[in-house]
Amino acid sequence: MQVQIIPKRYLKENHRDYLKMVPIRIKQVSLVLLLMALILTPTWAGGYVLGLLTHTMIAVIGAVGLNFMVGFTGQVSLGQAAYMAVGAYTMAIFAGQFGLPFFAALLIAGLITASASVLVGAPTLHLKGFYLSMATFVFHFIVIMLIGRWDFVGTQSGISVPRPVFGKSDGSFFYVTFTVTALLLYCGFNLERSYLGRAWGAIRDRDLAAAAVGISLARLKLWANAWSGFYAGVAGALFASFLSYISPEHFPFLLTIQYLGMILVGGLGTVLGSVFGAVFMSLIPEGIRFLSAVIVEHTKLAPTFFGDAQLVFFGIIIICTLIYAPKGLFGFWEDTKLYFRTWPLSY
Amino acid sequence: MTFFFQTLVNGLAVGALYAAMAMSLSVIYKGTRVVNFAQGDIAMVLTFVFWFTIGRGMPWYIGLSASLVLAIVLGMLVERLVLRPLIGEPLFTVVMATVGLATILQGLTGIIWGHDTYRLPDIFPGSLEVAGVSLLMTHIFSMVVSLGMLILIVVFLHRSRTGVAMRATASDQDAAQLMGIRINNVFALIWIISGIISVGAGLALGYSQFLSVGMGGFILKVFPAIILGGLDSITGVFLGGLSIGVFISFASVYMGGLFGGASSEIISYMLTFLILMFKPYGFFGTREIERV
Repeated sequence: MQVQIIPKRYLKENHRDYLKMVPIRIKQVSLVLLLMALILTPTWAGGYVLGLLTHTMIAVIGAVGLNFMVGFTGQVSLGQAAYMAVGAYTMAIFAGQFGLPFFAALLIAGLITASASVLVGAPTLHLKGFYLSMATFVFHFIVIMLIGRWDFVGTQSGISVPRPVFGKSDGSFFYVTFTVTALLLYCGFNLERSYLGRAWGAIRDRDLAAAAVGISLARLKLWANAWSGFYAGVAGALFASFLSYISPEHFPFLLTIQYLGMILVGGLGTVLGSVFGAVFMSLIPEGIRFLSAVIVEHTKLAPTFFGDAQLVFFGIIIICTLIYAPKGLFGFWEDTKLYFRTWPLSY
Repeated sequence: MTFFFQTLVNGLAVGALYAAMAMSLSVIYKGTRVVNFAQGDIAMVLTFVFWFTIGRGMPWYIGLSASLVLAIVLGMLVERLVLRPLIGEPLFTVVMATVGLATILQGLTGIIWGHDTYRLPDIFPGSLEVAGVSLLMTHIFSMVVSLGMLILIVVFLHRSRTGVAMRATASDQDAAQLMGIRINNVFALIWIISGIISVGAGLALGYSQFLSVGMGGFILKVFPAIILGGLDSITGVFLGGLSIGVFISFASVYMGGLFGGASSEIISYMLTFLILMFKPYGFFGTREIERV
């Protein structure tokens, strides 16, 4: 049995300690510092850094949403790109064609995607594992093909989406994404520790046992679908506004794979893990882009080298994570903290 | 009536491609319970090797042997390095490992051979005409290859000692191990056999369509056939592949107007969704029973 000496600051002495989201002083301080740093970024950063950060935050939202489905509930969904496409096109239609205000369209995009997700989830409740993932996989292709044939949204050539401008600063969209991400992350951390999060974990670990202790599998799975769809829809809508132009090609099956890679590398079944994974997997390609630019310059490789190197690297990261660090970056983070907390004793 | 038969034959020709690819997936799933998303990319790499070899002026049998040898090496490497450490892990983990493998193969092929679209040299020119129905020789080739492989696999699994050992492993790994079967060798062998089927599937695909890095994406169209036939039945997925091919062929002729031209594929995916809803284990698959 593992015995740990727990410092007093980790102890929970009354109910209020349990309700605190960030219970430890050092975490509070670093969170505030992180938020301050992000808020102040537009004052110094150029378009490249802001774009990269915005893209990363969108990825964070999408990854958290996918994690509700795959990591928490254990329902392997291959429909992430399709859900994001639904959100993005809802945004394009409501904000672009109907001229609704941005935030109203964003909310509608989330809700419509959540309904779509529930509509896919309901008839496939009896499916598990591979067969369920096949159902969502099929859904992806149906959605993408239908969008590509629908005249109202510009078929294959795509449709433009308005990008909201508040004030005159370049960073306005950054702040919009930042606010939405912060809200959804707050919501996500609360979901994780609420009844829903714990019930989802029970379903993932052993669905029959979960049903035996009184968890309604159908209801909880549909809730997972709804929340996951909502997050994916919001991420898709933000993505659409960020690109300000979308076409079916922006939502390939590879996008789903990338999101699955994010939550896998970050850590399945934790919100913080999906944040880690999304940040890591969004920043790594930039590093590879930098490196491959240097390599292409000095050799005679084709300019497509960057994309290929990215694919190879992505695959290697996925396989190495699965084999050597199944708990992902989150597990690594926890192990590291435990190591230093108990240092010099290893138990 | 000639038109009807022409459509049927065209459908069978496409279906043979689906069937060949589906069989290579099914062999792996039956033996090791791994759904291999990298199968299309393995076939792509093997076909590229064939194309590269005969492009250097070698005769076709050298090219074929080269890709067969690579199939064996690749199969063993993949099994040893990627999947053996993951034995006993949940399906999602294993599937993601094969997805990672697929992206690695795509990236490497892209780096080595570039992103152009190539054609394999026409060694089966012309076409055959039977009672007004014309048959491209490449189509005959893919049908023959695919049917031949089915017969070979079924005979191998039922008549040879190794084949029986493989079926025993598929049925119950622990019991098979107790009977003195080396599970690790069987797993490696399964990957090799599936690689060899991929050579056939890749060549059939390369000859009837074209050769490019994106060719592995064909696997995504094969999943409806697998669901229809039943994931773990080799004969089942073969028939499933043929039926999906015929279905798509007829759908594009008779329902072409729906959904603005993409009807056939959308309908095939919708059909898959319906099958998943009402008969998830397909027509020949084994029902998965869960023990409490």
